[in-house]
Amino acid sequence: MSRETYQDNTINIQNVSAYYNNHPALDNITLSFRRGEFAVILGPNGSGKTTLLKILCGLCKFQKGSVKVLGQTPSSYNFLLRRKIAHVAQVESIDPKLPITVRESVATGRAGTSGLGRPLKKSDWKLVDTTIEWIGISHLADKPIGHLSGGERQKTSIARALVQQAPILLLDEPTASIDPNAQKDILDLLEHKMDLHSFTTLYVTHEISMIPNRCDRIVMLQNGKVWADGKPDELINEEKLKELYGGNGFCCSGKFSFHHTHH
Amino acid sequence: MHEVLGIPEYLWRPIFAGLFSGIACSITGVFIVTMHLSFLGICIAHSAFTGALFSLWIGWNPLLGSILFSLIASAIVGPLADRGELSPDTSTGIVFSTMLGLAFLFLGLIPGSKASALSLFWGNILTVTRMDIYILSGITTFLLLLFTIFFKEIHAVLCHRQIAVYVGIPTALIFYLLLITTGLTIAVSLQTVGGLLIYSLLLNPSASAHQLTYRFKTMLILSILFGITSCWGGLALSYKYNLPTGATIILISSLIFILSAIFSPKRQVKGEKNV
Repeated sequence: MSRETYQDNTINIQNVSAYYNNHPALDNITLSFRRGEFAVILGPNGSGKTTLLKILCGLCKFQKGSVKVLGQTPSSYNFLLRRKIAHVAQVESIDPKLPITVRESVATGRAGTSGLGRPLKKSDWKLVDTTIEWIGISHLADKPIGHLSGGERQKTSIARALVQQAPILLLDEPTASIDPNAQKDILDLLEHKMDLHSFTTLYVTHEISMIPNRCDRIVMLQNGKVWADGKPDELINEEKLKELYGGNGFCCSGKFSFHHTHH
Repeated sequence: MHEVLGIPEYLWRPIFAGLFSGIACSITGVFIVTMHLSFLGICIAHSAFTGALFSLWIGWNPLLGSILFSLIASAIVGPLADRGELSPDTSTGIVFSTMLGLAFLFLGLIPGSKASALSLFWGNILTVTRMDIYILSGITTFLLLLFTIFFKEIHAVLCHRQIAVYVGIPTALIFYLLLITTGLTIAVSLQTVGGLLIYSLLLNPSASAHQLTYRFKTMLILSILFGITSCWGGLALSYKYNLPTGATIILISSLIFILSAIFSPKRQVKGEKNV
């Protein structure tokens, strides 16, 4: 890889291995993602997808190799780097009595960026309100976060990620654990409303039907290794998917259709 | 009897002690209640009590031992719970039982009369010294400043800890700062309310406020108001009917909690859902 190409890449992962209790979660992975690329990381449960994202945020240690994100090495103390990485996780159960409203929850996205000990400015709150309206949850703004449905909570998470105004967006199974209608809603938002190419986007999923059509690249992980890496129309076919998922029929049930559009 | 503003002069110190204890314990309580760390609060309270007994045994000021032991407990329980090797309840339970064992050991080792040691059980707001007031006002000011300056970070850590990590807030720093402040608050409030009763003053005002609002700022303000009301109300009751002050403070805070739970909008929401 030439020096120029290396610098143009937002994320560079070189020969990275990470272990949990001597079991390799990632095994000698080398990947790089360029600015504005929208890649889907696909693989069965336990293939190392979430570990990969955690390493990029500095929240998971790796034993071998090197990782550079925006030219910096991620670590649990690199708060400044994390402020440049927006993250949407899957919906988790939360205390319904939690004293935080949707508007305040979205504003958490500005809490790191605005600086330690510095209150949010009027412009921050304006951005929060505009984003809430754009996502279509302004009617929920003053509702406690614990009162929302899974789909509504996920829209709040996406709004939070957007107000962070980070160059990198990590989506860790954003449609998992929510009902099918809400899944459709979130996918529609990601696919048609948001411009995922304005970030370097890594979208992790194990469900084929949840892959947005507009992605540039598919990286398939299996047992902590890069099993395949290429264009969606090269990799998303019944044969490859059967191989990736070990012949498991769930991913090739016929519900799946993939119409990749080139940009 | 000399009076200032119609109140006997000797009552002014307890009034200030009640004000500062009420504010400090209620703010700390918001941290404990929101993060579901009630058992941790109980554990630190008992550690402070053990530290005070240790001080009495070796002839120190009880406050020093309270601060030392509550900080030790915070320093052990926090990382153990944080690293996830043991469940937070298990690690807190182990430290709690060890501290209780040490408390009985020191109680047995204190030479002569145990009266001063036993008074630490229920505390005595009427005997607080000028120095106690200064220390209490210092920790209260520190807590108010901490929550004012780092309001958005504290709110994020308390309500969205995982998200706070991802958006680049130094979550561990904020968490341990709150934990250490909790230890200090408990240690300096020990003499006012007593070792066995202090966690009621920590939990009741903030738990009451938690019942009444979904707004974090409102929860903090309500918690402070309930804390001061409990301290001053308890003091007044104790003065008027010659009752133990620690007990009256706690009973008033418990009454406020019962009323808050009855009139809680959160309870009504649950009821409506059940219909």
